[in-house]
This record gives sequence, C-alpha cells and structure tokens, in this order.
Amino acid sequence: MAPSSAAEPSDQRAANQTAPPDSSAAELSDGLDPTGTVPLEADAPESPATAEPSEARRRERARRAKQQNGIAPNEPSQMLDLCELPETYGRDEVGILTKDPQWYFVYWEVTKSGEATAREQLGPSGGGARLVLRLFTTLLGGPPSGTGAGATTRESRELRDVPLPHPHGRKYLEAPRPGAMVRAAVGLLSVEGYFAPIAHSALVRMPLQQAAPQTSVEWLHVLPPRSQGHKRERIVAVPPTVQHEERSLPAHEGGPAAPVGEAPAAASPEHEPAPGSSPAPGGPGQPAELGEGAATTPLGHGSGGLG
Amino acid sequence: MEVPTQRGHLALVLHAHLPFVRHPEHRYFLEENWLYEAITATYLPLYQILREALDSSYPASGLPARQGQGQGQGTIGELLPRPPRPRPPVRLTMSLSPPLCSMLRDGLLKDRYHDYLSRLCRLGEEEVVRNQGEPALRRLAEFYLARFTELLNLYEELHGDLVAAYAGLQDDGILDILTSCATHAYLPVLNEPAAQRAQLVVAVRHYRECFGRFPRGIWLPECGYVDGIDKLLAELDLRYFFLDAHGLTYARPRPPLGLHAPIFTRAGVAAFGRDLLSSKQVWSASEGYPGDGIYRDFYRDIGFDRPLSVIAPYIHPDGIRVHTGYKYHRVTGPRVDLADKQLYDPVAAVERAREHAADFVRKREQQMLWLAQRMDRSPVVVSPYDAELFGHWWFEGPEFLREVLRLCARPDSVVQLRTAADYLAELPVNAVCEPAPSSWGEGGYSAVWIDSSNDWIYRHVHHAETKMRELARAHPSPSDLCRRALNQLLRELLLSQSSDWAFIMKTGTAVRYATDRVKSHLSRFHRLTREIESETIDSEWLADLESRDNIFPDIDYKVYAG
Repeated sequence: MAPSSAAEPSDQRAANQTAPPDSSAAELSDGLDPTGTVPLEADAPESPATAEPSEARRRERARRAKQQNGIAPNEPSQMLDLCELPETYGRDEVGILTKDPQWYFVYWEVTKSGEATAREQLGPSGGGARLVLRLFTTLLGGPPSGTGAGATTRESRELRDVPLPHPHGRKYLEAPRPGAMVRAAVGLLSVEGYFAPIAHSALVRMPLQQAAPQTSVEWLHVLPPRSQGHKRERIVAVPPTVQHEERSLPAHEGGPAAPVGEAPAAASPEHEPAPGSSPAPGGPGQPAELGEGAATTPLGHGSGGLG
Repeated sequence: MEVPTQRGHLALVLHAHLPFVRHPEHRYFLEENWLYEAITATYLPLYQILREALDSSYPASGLPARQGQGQGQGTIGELLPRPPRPRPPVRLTMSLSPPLCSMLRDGLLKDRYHDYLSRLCRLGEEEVVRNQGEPALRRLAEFYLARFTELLNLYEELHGDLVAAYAGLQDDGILDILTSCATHAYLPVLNEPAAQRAQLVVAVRHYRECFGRFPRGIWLPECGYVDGIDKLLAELDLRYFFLDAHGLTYARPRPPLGLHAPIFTRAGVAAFGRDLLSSKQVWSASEGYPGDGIYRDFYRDIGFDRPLSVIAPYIHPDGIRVHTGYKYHRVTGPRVDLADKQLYDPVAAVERAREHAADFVRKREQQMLWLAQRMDRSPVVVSPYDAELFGHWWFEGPEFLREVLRLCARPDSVVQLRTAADYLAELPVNAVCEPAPSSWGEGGYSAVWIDSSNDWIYRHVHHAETKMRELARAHPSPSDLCRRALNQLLRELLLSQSSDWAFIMKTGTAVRYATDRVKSHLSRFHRLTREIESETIDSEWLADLESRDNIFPDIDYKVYAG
C-alpha cells in the first residue's frame, strides 16, 4: 500500500517503481491561472533548460504555500525526540539472524573489559590473540550412514573462525548448507589456537530449500470451535477416528518441489505440474498413531492473560 | 440447475495493513495520506461490495438488521430472539492489522480524513468547471466527483467508524477477520521469545476491543515464519495462519496432500499455503490483470499535471506535489511514457474487470477439477493479496472482486468461496508437519528485511527488547506514573518493530521518514528507560508522548515480564 506497503510482492513492486511525472516540467505546462489568483513564481514560463526551479524559488514557493494554507510557524521541522542511536551499548554480545538459506547476518560488540577477561583466560598466549567470530555449524541430513532399515542420518559439525577487524560491527556470512544449525561466538583466538569466548549467540536453523523426501506422516483431528469467537476456546486435538483414504493413495510421481518463486505445480491443466509438488500424496498408509504431544487435550496452554 | 459433484474451496485472503502514522504536531503530514488514500480507494469500496454481496444473497427480509442500524434502542424487534442467520453463499477472509484499526478508530485521523475527502470533492467541482471546454476530461472529472461524493456520504453514514462497519460484516457472516501482529513486526527478526509473544498478545487483546470476540486466525506479517511461532499461536488459541507456498511444500515431513490442503503443526495450529498461480494472475506486473492497458493508470495524476497555482490547495502546503486521486489516463500499454498515456474510459475498464473476473473463476474451476481428480478431498486454493491492491494500485480491483463474488455465489459454481475456518470445520483431520521458515517477500525468506539498507536496526531493537524484559520484571508493582512510563516504553518498542520501516529502507521509497521513525521511537525508549531507572520521570513529556503515540491505550507492559 502506498509507498510503505510491506507486503507488496516483488513483481508488483517493480511495476510500481515507475517514476512519477516530472513535476517541475508539469508546473510549466500552463502559466495561466483560471482562478484569477496571483500566480506563483514557479508557474511562470521557463525555458526547458531551466525547468528545475532554483532553490531560492523553491523556498519562496514553500513560504507562499505555507501562508496560503495557514501552517503554524511553530510546527517542528523534524521528527520529535529524534536522536542518533548509540554506537555501542557497553555489552559483550553477538547476535545472529538468518537472511536466506545461504546467508546469515551477525552483529557483535566486545567491551574492553570483556576482551581483557578473555586475554586473561588465555594466560601467556593472550598477548598475541586476535578477535574472531567462531562459527559452530551442525549439518543434518548428510549422506546416511549404514544401509537399509538401520540407516541413520549423518550429522557433521564444522568450525570456522572469521577475523574481526573491529570490536563492534555487523557482517554477512555464507552458510555451508541450507538447513544447517549455526551458532556464533565472539572471542579471542591465540596464535597457538586456543579460543577464549566472550559472548555467544543463540542457535539458529538456516532455512530449507527443498522438499523433504516422501515419508509417512501422522494425522491429527483438531476439533472445530463451537462458537464464533465469542468465548475463548482452546485448541483440542483427538486421534482421528477413521482411516483416511489419502493415507492409502499411491505415491505420487516424486521429485523435488518447484523452487521458490516459480509457478506452482499441479495448479491447472494448462500448466504441467512441476514434479512432486501439489498434490503429492504420501506413501502407503500409516497407523493412526499420534506423535508425542499431539493428542494432549487441550493443546493450548491458555496463558496470555486474555481472560 | 445441476449442482456439481466435484467442488473446491477458494480462500480469498485480503491483508489490510498500514503502519501507524499519526502526527498531531503537524497540521498536514504527507505520510498520513497513505491512510486517506487507502480508505478512499480500498477500504470504503471493499466495504461497499461486501455489503452489496451480502444484501444480494438474501431475500428482502431474510437478514435481520444489524444492531444499531435501522432499529431503535429497546424496540420489540430487538427484544425478540434474532432468527439464526443464514450462511452467505460466499465468504472471504480479511486481516485488519492492529495499526490500521487503531488509525481507523482515531478521532484526529477520522476528522482529518473527512476533511481530505471533502477537499477532494471541492477539487472535483473545480475540475468540472475547469474542463468545460474538453468534454472527455469533464466527464472524467464528473465521474470522480460522483465517486468521491458517494464515498463521503458512505463515510458519514458509517459515522466514520470503518472498524465497526467491518465488524458488522463479520457478524453477518460474509467475512472472517484475522488479526496480525501488534505493529506488524516481522517475527523472524525479533530476538526474544517475549518480544514475539508480546506482538501477538497485544494484537489479540486489541482485536477483542475492536471486534468484540477472540480472533481465530492470524495473518503473520509478510507470512514470516520461523520455528516455534506455532506454539505461541496455540497459547493464544489462534487456530490457523498462512504461509507462502514453500513454507508448506518444504515442511518436514513432506505434506502428503501437497499445497492444496492445510497441515497441522505439532501444536495443533493449521498452516495454509499460498497458491502461486492465482497469485501470479493478479499480482504479476507482466502477466497480471492490473497491467491491462484499459485500466486506469496510477501514476499520472493532476497533482503533478496541473499548474501549482491551481493545485496548491490540494497538495502539500510546502508545495510538494502529491497524488490527488484525479487520474484521467489509462495504462495504455507497457513502457508507455506518462506523457503519452491515453484518456481513461471507466465503462470499458469495468467491462474488462468483469472479463478478468470470469477468467479468474474459470481458471480456478479448471484448477479445482484437476486437483479433485488427484485428491480424495476437496482441494483448497488459498489466494492472499494485499487488500490495497484492490482499488489503490488497481483501481478496478473492487469491481473485479465484486464479479468474482457474484460468480462464486451461483449455486452451480464449482468454486466455493470459503474461509480457512470453513475448510477446517469441514475437514478437521490433517497431516502433522513442521512448516519451513519462509516469508512471502522477494526471494521467499528474510532478504527484504535483512539487507545492508536496513540491518542497522536490529542491534538496537534487540537491545530494547532485552531492556524491556528487564524493566518489566524489575517493576512488578510500580507507581501510577512509573506504570504509565513502562506502558509507553512498550508502545515505543512495538512501534519501532514495524516491518514497514525496514521494507521502506530496502525499497528506497520514503527512507528518511522510515529511518527517522525507527530512531525516534528508540530515542524515546532510551530516554524513558533512563527516567524510569533514575526515578525522574518527566510527567509532562510522558503525557505528550501518550497523546502522540497513542496506539493501544490499554496496553500492559507486564506482557514482557512473563
């Protein structure tokens, strides 16, 4: 919506970025004022070469317009209470946010006392230690180890150090793989390879970028609310009471789902479905067994103080 | 008439949102026009067509009058039990974000909007006179004047209370209104669980104030989802939300019914995925309906065309030219220069909108029949759009919707226009899957909101989140003044978290304003923090802040203490 629409899909946004009409040129299109009021200077004809009004003329125009509209002279000239935000907060910290399946964003701050403490921890090695961002990455879903029913998903861990030139800042880093779990620590790394952490980030999961292989699923029956929202109703789930045909549908032609942003699969007969996207019925039927916690009643814990 | 045996659900979801922009310290504030333009172009017209669709669904006496309309207080008619409402044949889902509802209910903004619309009517009268010598332009001026006058009358008839008007539509069954986050925060970039939770709790409370009931569904801003959000939704009994397509198709395990059936998270909350084809048909700049050359052009406006001496009373007092809503030209064609645009023909445009609506419904029919052959249940096609697309960006959009509603209301329609709640009531058994982190922004993840243009925000906001939690816990029983300061502290934090600011910085549209908004809210947060901690609260300044940033008057800072 308007210049601020936060949810305008990208292609439409691009369409909306057409430049607005050239206002200065438009102002010159007609120097006559049919209302009979005294024309503003900006309305006087100018040669195309000088179509852009001078700064002095802009100011005069603004002054006259203000007079015409009765704007109070004591209105604030900028946003109220506007101050520059602090450069640092005096806290040892590192924050991490995932940008997309490939990239994540980190910011950090190391105080002098935090650095001194870390140096102290390193003992004699502390003198030549340098500030680094240590990245701990856990990769899930690698090639399975073993075969057949005993196969397990391989989990591997990676560790990477990124030198930091400043005690505070922000940076984008590339993730080794979509779906990886990443945690960052800022700290000092000695020349001998000892690491003294100063602050840790939370653990984040990089977004996934492909559909999961077809496997069995659990099914849940969530009871519909009985009112139209006029009273509070918790979410209540019960085990499905009937076998559902979809669980015995033959497996759909497989393959990865359509990449993000591409036309949907299976959307209409005019569009050949991309392999494996909707609908993609699952494998053979599974017993109606609910997963851990799925059958608890009610599911909502009812906090929130909404009374 | 034969009723088709194979039918599908179409869930049209209109997301209505604007950031909270209210500047009482200025008599005219450019960015407030975002609201006024959207009311004029979208919110009032959408109300009109929904009301019409509802009224045309019943025989003359079929629908009881709504409370407060057409009946006096305490009449016998009110004392009699209301007959059960018949269910409308078409039902839509619409989210009205808390900032938007707050602005629509705000007395100052309502008065200013009334003045705005009245000014548009005056401009129309002048335009009719001005264009006497040019019949085509005069007819267009008359068209707009009639339209704005009609909207002004409607606004007055509704006593300027659009939230109550939409609440009435929900009460009458044609609309399911979703909530959204308190200030439309993009949840994946918030650091503290308390911060995510506060955005949701404040929103749910506000919804109850506005609509007199608990919300059942939510529009997550930007469809932004990360692990754990479903549990927060379940805590608040929010039963369904919406994801972009890959949020569902990349779920773990793989959803067995694909995109056109919802999944349940482990918390029992349903997630619906966006259908990309129907989105593209409407949204796409190159292939979408709104790009048709017959439709009205958005950018060519007399606010830029007329001499300053003529248009000055209708633009920014500083002489900054703005859109007035009087747009006499049509899109004409791709890459046509603004100066070469041809004159708009409203009759032809409405006709084209109806053709496009028929095409849209026909393609949904084909899609549903195709899907129905491959599923053992009715498919649901979820088509979410920004509400402001319909009317503001695409002038004929409301007419398109009107026709879609009419076509889907036919008894023989394959396409059943229903809500997500309807679907879950009919088909309450679904697969349990964990949605994938995703958004509907460019690229499908967080690249719009985490970008070199806006990433400076997050460190400051995260610090404020932590400080808010610390102060909330440190003040379980504050004095009245301190409580007010803590509540205002939370308002300022929430306002700084709006996803709109980062989006504007990324797209480069009103960067200065967005930057100043973030900085000013956080500056106020820091000053309030200092005053609370040092017990030197400036009551006069606090009262001033409360009157300016007056969103959520009943807010309770203790939401951060939990």
